This record gives sequence, structure tokens and C-alpha cells, in this order.
Amino acid sequence: MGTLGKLLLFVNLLVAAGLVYLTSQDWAVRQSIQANLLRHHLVLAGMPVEPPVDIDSDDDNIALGTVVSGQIVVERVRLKFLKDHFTGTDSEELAGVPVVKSQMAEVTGIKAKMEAKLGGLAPAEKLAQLCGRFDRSPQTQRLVFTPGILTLMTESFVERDLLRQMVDPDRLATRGPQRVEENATTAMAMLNKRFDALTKIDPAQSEADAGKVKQATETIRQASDAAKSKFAAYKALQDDKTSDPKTVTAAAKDATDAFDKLGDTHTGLQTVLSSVGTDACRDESDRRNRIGHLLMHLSETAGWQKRVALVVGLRTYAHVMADQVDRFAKMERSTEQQIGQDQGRFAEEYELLKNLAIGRALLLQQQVVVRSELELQRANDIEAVTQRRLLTDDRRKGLEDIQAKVAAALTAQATVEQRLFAIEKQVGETLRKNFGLEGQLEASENKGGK
Amino acid sequence: MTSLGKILVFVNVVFGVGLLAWSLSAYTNRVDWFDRKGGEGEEAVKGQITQLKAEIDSVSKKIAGTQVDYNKARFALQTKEETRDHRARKFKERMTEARKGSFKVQLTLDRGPLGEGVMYDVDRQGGDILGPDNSPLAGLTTLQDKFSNEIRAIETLHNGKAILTDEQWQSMRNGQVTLAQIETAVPTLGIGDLRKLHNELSVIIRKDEIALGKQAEILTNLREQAVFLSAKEVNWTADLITLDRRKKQLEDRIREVQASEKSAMK
Repeated sequence: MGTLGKLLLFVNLLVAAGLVYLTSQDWAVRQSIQANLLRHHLVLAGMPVEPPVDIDSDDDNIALGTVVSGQIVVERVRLKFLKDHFTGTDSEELAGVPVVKSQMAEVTGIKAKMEAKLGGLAPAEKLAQLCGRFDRSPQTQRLVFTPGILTLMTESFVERDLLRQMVDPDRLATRGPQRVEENATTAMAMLNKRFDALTKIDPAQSEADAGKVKQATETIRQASDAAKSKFAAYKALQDDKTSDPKTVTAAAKDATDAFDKLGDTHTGLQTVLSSVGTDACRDESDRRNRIGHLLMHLSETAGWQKRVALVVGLRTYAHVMADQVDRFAKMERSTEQQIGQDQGRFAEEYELLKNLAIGRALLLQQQVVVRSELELQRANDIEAVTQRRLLTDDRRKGLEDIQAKVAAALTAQATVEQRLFAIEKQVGETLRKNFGLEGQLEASENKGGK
Repeated sequence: MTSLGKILVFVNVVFGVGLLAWSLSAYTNRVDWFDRKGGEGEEAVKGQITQLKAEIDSVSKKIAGTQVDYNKARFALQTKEETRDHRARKFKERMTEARKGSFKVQLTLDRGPLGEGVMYDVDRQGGDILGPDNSPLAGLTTLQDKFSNEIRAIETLHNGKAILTDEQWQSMRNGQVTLAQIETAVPTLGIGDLRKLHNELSVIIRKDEIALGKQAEILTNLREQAVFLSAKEVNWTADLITLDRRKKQLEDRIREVQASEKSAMK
């Protein structure tokens, strides 16, 4: 090798060393830029929904598989990066882990923690946490509703109204503590359903929902027919004055039970309507929105909201929040309409009651007149009976008097008869003696004549 | 330079040219991570990070605004629900009053969400609605209770508080019940029993009157008989006196005859 060759080789090696140096410098800067870029990307787009299955990961290197700026694929990130990313978020209250590896990992972890937290509560407290509670305001004395997590995340008026009814103190008071337990179980099932729906994507969900609504409607129709039939039977027995009161009471109970069942079927339809479209997600975008919607409403603390925003990304978070604002506005309009409908129903029922009351008042007036006449009649009857009784008394006394007189007359007559008999006897004897004397005289005179 | 050296130089040149081409390509197609000024006539280019930062700022501002809207919408809904609950409870109270108390005129709000004079004022009620008798119309349940009480009172008037049994009626017919017992029973009897009792008493009176007539007839007969016997006693007494006088006359005549006989014999 000549001197020129050696020189060129030396220069070449120097250039290569310089290039290696520059490359290493560039790599370090590039790593920093990529980390910065990834951080910005994650803030906006959030964590991946599911962890990538084709990328290996370990405790320190978390698989991400995220495409940043449409060009750079970030397969893994260090755990420290994610720890820094989620610093300052509320990880203790619900999630229990400082680092979020994917949205579904967060959802699964929170579901388990929610189940553990709510499972340890009494039914009434569980119901209050999920659906809310009514408390009386000391200032206005009105009942003020504090919504629970399910009530906050409702997407329709029907669903929200159903959840409010589930904690309505009047309804709970009439149905007893068993109802509280049932409602708490139902509310827990509704929350679990929302969690479970995030694991499924089913574009044919709408067909399944239509089938459920149809079935619930048919159940209402059957319950309604049964209730009408029971009520008609009760009414017939009630109108029949010869009916046994026990049979009428039993028929009334049957009718009440049938109407209770009808009410339950209506609640069933409300439940179905409130859960339309919540069995599964329609697509991946819907899934992201649902995750954001669910997580956002689990706690209202600023730390938790920051965590949710970082988990689902600011774009999804903003979208979900705007959607819920629209839903609140729709629910408010529906509530406004319901206020009008409530008044309409009240006015109709009030008018009906008023007309019935007027009819009853007229009948009552007639009955009062009938009763007054009967009272008068009874008073007359009592007077007549009293008169009869006095007459009976009078007749009895008269009879007793005359009986006494007859008895006295009979006694007197017996005395007279005895006395008369004695006189008759005396007359007879005297007559007999006179006959004797006349005979004796005649004999004496005949003897003197001879 | 050996052949190997030439080959290596050639490879080195090719590698260098390739590296240069790749570098030029990477540079010209580079992603602008950071902002850079444009050349003459070119606009400044915003880097990716700047764009992402801007989007984050924009979305954050949007979120801040949406959070305000969220809270407003949420509390507006809650306020509306509280209004609905309050009205529903008041309506329920009024329905209860319409059943157990009385009916009132429904006043309307001067200003309501649906317009003037449409919404009922649930915190104020008007005067009583009058019934057919021009008194306040009572609640339906109250009226039904009163109606039931009237029906029961009418039934009591008909049947009385105690209906007499057949045995008791039979005892009365047989005269085993005293008038005092009847008098005690009368206030508890209904119209039906009172009329039956009236009939029974009438039967008793009729029987008593028949017995009374018979007794009167007997008494009359006895009195007539007494008169007859008295007259007869007088007659018999007169006859006895006459007979006594005759007896005495006969005895006197006998004594006279006997005395004349005795004197004749002498």
C-alpha cells in the first residue's frame, strides 16, 4: 500500500469515527424527541385499548404497539416512562395501580376493585352509591337528589328516570327492605353489564335489542290482559250484593297482585329500553368512547378525571364529555315534557275524581234523605209499638179487673145460692109441716063432726 | 494498489455514495419535529411537537369549556328533576286531599315555562270547589265512607241492632215475655222487627179483647142471675113467712078443735 493509500485509509477511518459519533449523538436526541412525541401522542390519543399480542413485554418494558404521527411505531416503553406519564393522577382511589398498560387492563382492574368495594356495602348504601339518594333540604324542605355513578352515566331519560325511581323513598317505603336489596342487585347488574359490554364488539347488536323489546312488550300485554280479567272478576263480585265478603276480599287481592305484576312488567320494559345498545360495542371507536364514558363517571375527583383523560386520551375524553352534555340537555328537555305530562295526568285524574265525588255527593244526599225518612218512619213505628204496648197493658189490666169482678160475682152468687137453698129448705120443711098440720086438723074436725 | 485495495476502495466509494444518497433522501423527506423558518417566499413550518402541543392546548381548552357546560347541563337537569319531583309530590298530596279532604280550585302560574296561565301553581291553592249542596265538595274516600255509613245506618234502621230470633218471637206469642222486656228491646229493634212486634202486639190485644168480652158477658150474666136470685130469695122468704103464718094458723085451729073436743067430751 502506498503512502496515498495509507493516508486515504486514515482519513476514511477518521470520517467513519466522526460518523459514528454523530450517529450516536443523533440517536440520543432522537430518543428524547420520540419520548416527547410519544408523550404528546399518548396525551391526545390515550393508551391502546388492548395490549398488542405480537409484541413481547416484561415488567420493565411495556408493550405499546402505538403508531406515532403516522410514521413511528413505538413497540415498547419503559415502565418509568409510564410512571412519569401518570404522575399526579389519582391511582389509589379506584385503580389501585400507578401505571396503566392498556385501557382494557384499566377497566378490568377497576371492575374488580368496584365489585370488592360495593360488595362490602349494605344494600341501601350500595344502592345509594350506584343510583343516588334523596335527602330533604333543610332550607326548602324539598327532597334533593344526589346522583350515584350509574345515574350520572345514563344516556337516556328513561334509564335515568328508572334509576331515580329505584331510590324513590315513597316507592321503597311501600315495597319494604326486600325491594332495596332487589334494586341494589339490579343496579349492580347494570354496572357490570356496562363493564362487560366493553369486552365485546357486535355490529348486530340492534337486532338483538329489537327482539328483547318485542318480548318485553308481549309480556306487558299478557300481564295487562290478566290484570283486566282479575279486576273484572273482582268488580262483578263487588257489585253482586250476595257475594261472600271473604271471596270479594280474595278477588281484590288477586286483582292487586295482577296489577303489581303489570307494574313489574313495565319496569322490565324500562330496564330493557334503558339497556338498549349496552350489551356490546358497535365498533372500535364506539368501544373507546364507552370506555371513556364509563371511567369518566366513576369518580368526580380532579385526580381521577386527569387519569381518565390520560387513559382514553384528550380527544376521546373531550368527545365523550361533549356527548354527555348533549345527553343531559336532551334529558332536561324530556324532563320538561314530563312536567307537562305529569300535570296533564294530574288534571285528568283530578277532574275524574271530582266528577266521581259530585256523583257520590248526589247519591249521598239521596241516602241522607232516605235515612231521615226511615228514621222518621222508625220513630213512628216505635210510637205505634209503644201505643200498642200501652193498649196491651190497658187491656190486660181491664181483663184482670173484670176477671176479679167475675170472681167476686161468682163468690157472691154462691153465698146467695147457699142462703136461698137454706130458705128453700126451710120453706119445704114448713110446707111439709103445714101439710101434716092440715091433715091433723082435718082429722080432728072430722072426728068432732061425727 | 493491489486488486484487493482497488475493490475495497470501490466498495467504500459505493457505500459512501449510497450513504450520501440515503442521507439526502432522509433529509429531504424528514419529519419536522420542531419549528423551522421557511426559505425565501416560504412559510415557516410548524414542527410535529408544536402541532401536537397546539392540539393538546386546543383540546384542553375545549375540555375546560365542556366541563363548564357539563356541570351546567348536569345541574340544570337536576334542578328540572327537583322541580318535577316537587310538583309530582304536590300533585300526589292534592290527589290524597281529593280523596280524604276536599277539592280545591287549581291556580296557575302567571309565568311558567309553557306560557302564561298554563302551569299549575303547586305551592298555592284556590278556594274550595262546592258540591251539589253548595258546601265544600268532600274528598271521594270521605264521601264513600259517609255513603257506606249511610248504607249501614239504613240497614240498622231496617234490621235494628239485634234481630229477634224465632224462639224469641214464639216466646212473645206464648206470653212468656213481659211487657217490660218488650219495652227494653224496642230501642234496639229495626223497622222490620218493630212492625212484626206491632202485629204481634195487635194479635195479643185482640186475644185480650176477646177474653175481656167474654168476661164481661159472664159478669153480666152473673149480675142478672144475682138479681134473679135476690128476687127469688125475696119470694121464697115471703112464701116462708106465709107458710109460717099458715102453720101458726093451723096450729091454732088444731088447738081450738082439740079444746072443743075436750070440752065436748066433758
